[in-house]
Amino acid sequence: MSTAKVVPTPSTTLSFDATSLIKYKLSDEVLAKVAASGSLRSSSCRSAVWRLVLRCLPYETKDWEVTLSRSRNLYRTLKEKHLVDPHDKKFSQDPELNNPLASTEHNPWNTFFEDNDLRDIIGKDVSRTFPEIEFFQNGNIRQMMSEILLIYAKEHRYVKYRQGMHEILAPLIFVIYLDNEGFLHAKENDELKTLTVEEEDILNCLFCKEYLEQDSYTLFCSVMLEVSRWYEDPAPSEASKQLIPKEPYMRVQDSVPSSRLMEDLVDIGNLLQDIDPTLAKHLSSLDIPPQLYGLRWLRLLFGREMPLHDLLFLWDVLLIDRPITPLAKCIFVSLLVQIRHLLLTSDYGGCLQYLMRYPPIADIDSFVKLARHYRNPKKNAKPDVKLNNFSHITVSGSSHPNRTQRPQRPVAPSKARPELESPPTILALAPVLQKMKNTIRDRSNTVSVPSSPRRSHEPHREPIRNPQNNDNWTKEVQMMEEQVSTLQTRLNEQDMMCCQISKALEVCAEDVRNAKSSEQCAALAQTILELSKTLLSIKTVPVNQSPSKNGKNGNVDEKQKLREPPQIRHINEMIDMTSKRPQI
Amino acid sequence: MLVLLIGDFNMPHRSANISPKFRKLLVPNKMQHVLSTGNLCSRETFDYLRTLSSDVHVVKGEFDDEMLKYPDTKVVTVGQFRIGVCHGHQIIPWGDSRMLELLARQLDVDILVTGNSYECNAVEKSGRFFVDPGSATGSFSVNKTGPVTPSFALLDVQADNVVTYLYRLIDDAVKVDRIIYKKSKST
Repeated sequence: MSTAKVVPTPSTTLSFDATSLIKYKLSDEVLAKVAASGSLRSSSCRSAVWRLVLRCLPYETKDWEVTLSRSRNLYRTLKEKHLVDPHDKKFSQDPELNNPLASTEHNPWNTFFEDNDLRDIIGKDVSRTFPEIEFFQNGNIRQMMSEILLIYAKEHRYVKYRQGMHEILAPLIFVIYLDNEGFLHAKENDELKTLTVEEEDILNCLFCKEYLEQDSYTLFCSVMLEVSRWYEDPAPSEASKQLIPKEPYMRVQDSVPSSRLMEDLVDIGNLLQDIDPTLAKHLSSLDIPPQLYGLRWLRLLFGREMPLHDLLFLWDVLLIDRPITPLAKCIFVSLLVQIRHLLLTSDYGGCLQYLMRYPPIADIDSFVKLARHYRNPKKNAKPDVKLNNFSHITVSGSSHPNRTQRPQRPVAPSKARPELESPPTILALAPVLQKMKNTIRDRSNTVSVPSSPRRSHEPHREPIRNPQNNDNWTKEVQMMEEQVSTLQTRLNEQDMMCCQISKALEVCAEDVRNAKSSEQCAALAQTILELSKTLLSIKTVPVNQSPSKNGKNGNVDEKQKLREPPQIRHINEMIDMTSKRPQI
Repeated sequence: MLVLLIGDFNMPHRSANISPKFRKLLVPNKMQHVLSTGNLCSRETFDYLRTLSSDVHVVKGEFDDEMLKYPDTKVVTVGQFRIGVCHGHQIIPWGDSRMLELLARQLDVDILVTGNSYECNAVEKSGRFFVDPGSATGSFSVNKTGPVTPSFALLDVQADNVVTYLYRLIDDAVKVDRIIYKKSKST
């Protein structure tokens, strides 16, 4: 229970929940620490923290109710003002003036039809928001998003609606919705006992389900204050146009930056030059400036570059560091540095694929640390930059086009070695892998020696295979990399499973302590037994064996596709060799 | 949801064109559906209706080409309402209210749209709504003495009621009338 841990300021390790909002004396510095520590990831008041740091809410908790009711009323009046219903009684009811086709002035239908176009555009975008998350398939949520965006567009005429805003709004609604639900849950579980009635009222008012739409609008507006600079139209400055006429064949990075977005992207290019000159040189030699891919990165605040739960954590850190532009630039550069090994070994097409479909980050914590280090090198130590991306998949989970379409060149294996994604959990596998790799290399060197007697029965194959051998090894290495990645996901799943079971065990232990009758004890014992069984079933595939087992299965599948049966044998033999090798 | 009801053009046989006053009112991107009571009489008229909305339904009038295979009646569901369309020359005696009610019951529609009377009107009878958009061009009619007033109708279909706007061209000026039909709870 958090109640026991009430101290004047929250330590960064403890969980940060609704009660801590009231109990602690909060300030930007405190919240910045909390956000950086990542404790908001599991808390149910992330939306409140965002609202605090974006100044939608004052730090004085007593003023919350007033502020909230003010912003909610404001939204209601805006809605009345901007969502015109021609059937409303407030308009003239004379059919000569108020009918759908009349072209007279003051006809409410005119604005209605004007909005309809915008509504169509917004509706199309909204229906494509986070297709992988069920929450956004809900009709009510979509309706709500459309209305918020429409009102925003009509209220902020200089920004209007631009594609991408829906992707900013979506996580905000999601977070507020989750927090409202989380608060209800906490209330049901009596986690708010320590609060006085007034304090509970304040929280009730803050996490009120009915005002999801109003609160989302307010939060969206404040986030857009930071982000709208990237949505602005390029300023048509006549003077600059006359000075530097557009030349034919001019590249996008050579033109004078016409909007603040472009200026920022130029800045990012310079920042990258400072931080990682090699990478900057590589990209500029390939003619890939940030202007080419960075538009979306900045406008969506990296929303499409990482999965939602990681994105929310990134936003925790980003939103508190206002104005957000400098940190956003650092995050941008860190994203590039993260995949520098992939970029440096890729050609133009490969680089673009990696940049357009950013390989998901495995460990967001160290990534955020890296970004914060670039933001403030003196304060934040540089973390160990490990290879930290799942280079074989895209954020949506499908396999990355770079992996499926482009077979690696024979030289690649040695260089591409470190490409293997290696978050901490994979270390257990490293020796096994190394062995397998060694075997492959050895075999590729001594390939002329027939290693299998059965191969001599197929003499017609030999001459065809020999020149391709090098290629085949490459393929196998590639396949093994794929296996490693699937194993990695499996390991992660197991880790998660173990965590869950340990939690369940803790609950059980608690119950045992409280149990009174022997029947209860027996039931609990049964539960514990079941848990241990589940645990065993997970562990039946020992880590060291799994590669070989999986290796076979995975390869059988792959090979059946390729219709080259002899190669299955290769893999088997190779595995045999790995096990025998130490004895030889 | 806006539904345009229009018919009895008789172009080019009896009239050359729709009045420019009407053409100014009828612009694309406003109505979602167009229901025509027939007597388009030419491909060009149909094409004109297609410019107004992508969803055009036409029933056969007595002067429409047999080859075009327009149906005699058609039922379109818009929102909560079933709308039946029929030209009306098949209903004998012409314009008989009891026969129209019979047809509405047969089609099981809330709103029955018929033409052939060359007079624009909209009435509610025994829980159903009967609309006649009249003739869009005001072309002469065999069963009417004196000049015909050009007219069409527009339905604004909402959740539980339909607002009907009747547009008439009288003395070269557009007059608009509004009639509200609420769907009764029993149907």
